[in-house]
Amino acid sequence: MELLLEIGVEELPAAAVVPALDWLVAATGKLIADAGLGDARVRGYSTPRRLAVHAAGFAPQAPDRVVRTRGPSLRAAYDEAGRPTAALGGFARAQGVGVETLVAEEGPGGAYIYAQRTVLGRTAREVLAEGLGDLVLGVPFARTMRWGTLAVRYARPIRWIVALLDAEPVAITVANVTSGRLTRGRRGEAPLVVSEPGAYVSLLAERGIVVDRDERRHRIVAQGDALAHERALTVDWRTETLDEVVDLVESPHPFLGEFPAEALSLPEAVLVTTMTHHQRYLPVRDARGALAPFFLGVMNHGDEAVVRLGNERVLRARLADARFFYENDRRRPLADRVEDLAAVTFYTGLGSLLARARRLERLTPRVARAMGLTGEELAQAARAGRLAKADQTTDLVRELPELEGIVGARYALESGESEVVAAAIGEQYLPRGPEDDIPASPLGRALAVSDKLDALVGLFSAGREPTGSEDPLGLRRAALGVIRILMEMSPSVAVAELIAAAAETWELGARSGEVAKQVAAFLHTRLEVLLVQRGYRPEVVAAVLAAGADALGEVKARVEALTAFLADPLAMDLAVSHRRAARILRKAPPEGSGGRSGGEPAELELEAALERVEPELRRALAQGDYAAFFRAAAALRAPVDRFFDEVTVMAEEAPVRDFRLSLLRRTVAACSGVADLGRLGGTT
Amino acid sequence: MLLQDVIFRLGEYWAGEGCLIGLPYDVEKGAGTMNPLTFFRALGPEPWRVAYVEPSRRPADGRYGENPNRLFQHLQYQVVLKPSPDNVQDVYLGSLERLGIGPEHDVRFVEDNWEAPTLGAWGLGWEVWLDGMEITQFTYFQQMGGVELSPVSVEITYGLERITAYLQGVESVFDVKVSPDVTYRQLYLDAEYQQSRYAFEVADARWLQEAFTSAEAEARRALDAGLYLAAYDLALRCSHLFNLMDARRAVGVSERMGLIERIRSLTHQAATAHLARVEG
Repeated sequence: MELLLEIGVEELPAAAVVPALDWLVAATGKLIADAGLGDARVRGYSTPRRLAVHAAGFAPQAPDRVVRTRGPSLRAAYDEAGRPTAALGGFARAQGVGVETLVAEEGPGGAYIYAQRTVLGRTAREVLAEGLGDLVLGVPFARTMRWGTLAVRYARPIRWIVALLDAEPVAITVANVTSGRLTRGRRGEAPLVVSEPGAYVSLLAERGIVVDRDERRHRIVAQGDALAHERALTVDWRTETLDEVVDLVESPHPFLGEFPAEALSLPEAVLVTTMTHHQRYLPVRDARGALAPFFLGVMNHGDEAVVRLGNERVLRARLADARFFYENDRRRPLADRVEDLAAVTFYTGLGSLLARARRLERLTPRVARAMGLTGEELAQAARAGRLAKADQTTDLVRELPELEGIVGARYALESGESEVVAAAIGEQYLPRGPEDDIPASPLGRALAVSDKLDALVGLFSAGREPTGSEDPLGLRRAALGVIRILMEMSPSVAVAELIAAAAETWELGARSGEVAKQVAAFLHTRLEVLLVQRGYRPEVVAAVLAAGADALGEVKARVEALTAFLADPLAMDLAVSHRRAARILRKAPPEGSGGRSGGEPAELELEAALERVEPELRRALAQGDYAAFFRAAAALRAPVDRFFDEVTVMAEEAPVRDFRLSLLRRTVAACSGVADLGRLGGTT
Repeated sequence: MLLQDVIFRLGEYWAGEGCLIGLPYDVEKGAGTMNPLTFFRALGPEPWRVAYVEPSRRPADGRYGENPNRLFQHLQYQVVLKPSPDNVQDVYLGSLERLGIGPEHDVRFVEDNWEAPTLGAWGLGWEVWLDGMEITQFTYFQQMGGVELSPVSVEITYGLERITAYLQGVESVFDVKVSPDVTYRQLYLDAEYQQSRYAFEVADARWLQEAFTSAEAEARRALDAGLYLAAYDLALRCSHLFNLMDARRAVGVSERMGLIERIRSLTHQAATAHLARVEG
């Protein structure tokens, strides 16, 4: 059998299409399979105005099923004369079968009467007529709305539904819309009749509508490349914009538009943002990779010449706006704007951006020094901190907020600031997301860390730590940024010192220790989440963090070393021994003084091993050579095992007991430098 | 097509669709939604169809008349259909045809979710793009005055200057011909310059704050007296004063939320008072 379901809607948000379609494909397959109709091959189609699924290869009817129902006990079923009792007659009637068809069977609970009925398998038509409505309404959307007088919620209003099983319509009614075989082509054209599910794609293709999303994307790219190629240019295919454009058109028609070459003197980011974010055009570049005064638009309808001229006009106007803001902003040097920040609040109760600029002016040099910056980079750190937020009062940032920092960098250069300062201002918000790069310049990294720690400390002090899945202030992202920068570039920096410095510039007084602790704990949690997301085992990450993690950047190296070490069977043994030792120590009396060996060979062997291994472990830790650390620690495993096998730790004689406990203490301490191995010992 | 012809044709078209042709409201406001013909009529169960021009002031958008596309005040053509009809997109496209915008153009509906925090209003819909230019805001209202709406109204707001500039093929809205003899420049350039200068440089921040507080207090008095329409006018005044403060950069991010909340509280009370009256 073949099914076509098309949900006709008013234009869906571009970002809603793919998740909706994925759900619909999976849910259609499940509906068919759960009804016993077998595995269907399901494909999804979409345009901004339609979500559709085509399913094929499923059975017309589910197999019949035999249903057995237990009735009265054999004893209660017949009277002494062997005649059916009233109870048996009632059971047969309730089951809709004759008494003569009933059977008696012996079971563990005695002999009972059973009725057997054959339930006819439901037809595909019945299943779909009943299930398609829920399928349509079940599509999950991030945001839904109501329309007209209906109570139904959907991403946008539903306007038509096509439901065909082979060549016949399946009638369903959803949101006051009754399904049939009529679909719609382009707006303003008469409805089209879908004769059978297999005809759907080609029927719409004849009207110029490409319902296959991948095909639409492919065509846009192929035609776009060809257009650019004619002029020896290349399209800068930005995935985010291309993905969106694919879901903004159903009859894609790329065209190449032009804009005045003078506009190329605007900052490139302004041009690219205006084209991509605002107009959904793709930028076009010349052979050297520089922006060319062209853009690739993708139209949906209309006469190309008319549409191109219109789009060119819009882009011209937008770039003229940007030019206006840019020229206006440049009338004043960037540094003059810092005092204007007094009028901009950072966050309720947390003062102005001017106060923030002043804190960054003090904090950035301290962070820079801790991160090992020297020379001009270090000398300019205060300047970068002071100017970091100055672009917030510019018209260009007001107009294009996504360009904060980038605009500041440009204006810094034009105002005669040094290149390191400009670069740092431009990179302060990096990384903006998990896939984004961290700042390339050392001062950029110091400023980015300072900016994020300043925000974290301030907002935590105001009790604005994120709760649940909500993170409106982007604190998780900020924490992740700090972690990634330190991890990738400054692994040995003690994050607690940086947090303390940030708390000091906030002048939190007596609360500073408590807030710093909260921020540190928050960073640790985010680090744990990050490493687990990257595929490290949760218990390994937890073991490393439990051993202390002040140098955040080293945690990853320690996790990697421990992960590698755990491939060695020795490792688990050592972990088990470690746990055993730790368990005994928990119950042991506080450390006594002195103590002496009980003379057991196993005791002496462990002592000797510790004497040998301890300096190696210290050296490995000091050098950050965690692999060497574990290699050295592994040498303890055999002596520890033997010790446990042959020695009674809790000896009766107190000095001997103290000596043995001290050996265990040294063992645990020796193994805990990189990770708390006891956490890995399983349940033994 | 002259700007006044655009207004005439839209009026004829929407009157033909059963709309009352309404009038602009005489209190300063940022959008046609704030006209009582939309704000109050979107509430409650009664069907309603209206269309009108609304001069809308957005102080922060003022550019001293130097920018070809940005205006302190622009003209909205506002249409409200309640309940939203099933063929509303086609009806809207019909209005564009009436303006001579036919199938040779690329008209697109691009997601845009609308919100007017001071009105306690939000809705889902689109900005309509004509060959890449936003010409209309198209919204299915979900809430107004903080009240969930049923039935749902659809609001169609045309930007008259942009559409007319496009139809006349001019690059600057100031070159738009309003009538055969008068340009937009002649009508509004001085106002753009003076209003921008006032909003950005001259307005007295302290006076704005005092005026806001006093209008708010007066609105509360009117609400207490059960005169929610008078209170609503005062809330609109607060909203405009707030916009002026914003343009003057006299509002911090924190205060901002507080001021918006104060206006929203007034419009919410006006909305519930109105509902209590009509549902009586």
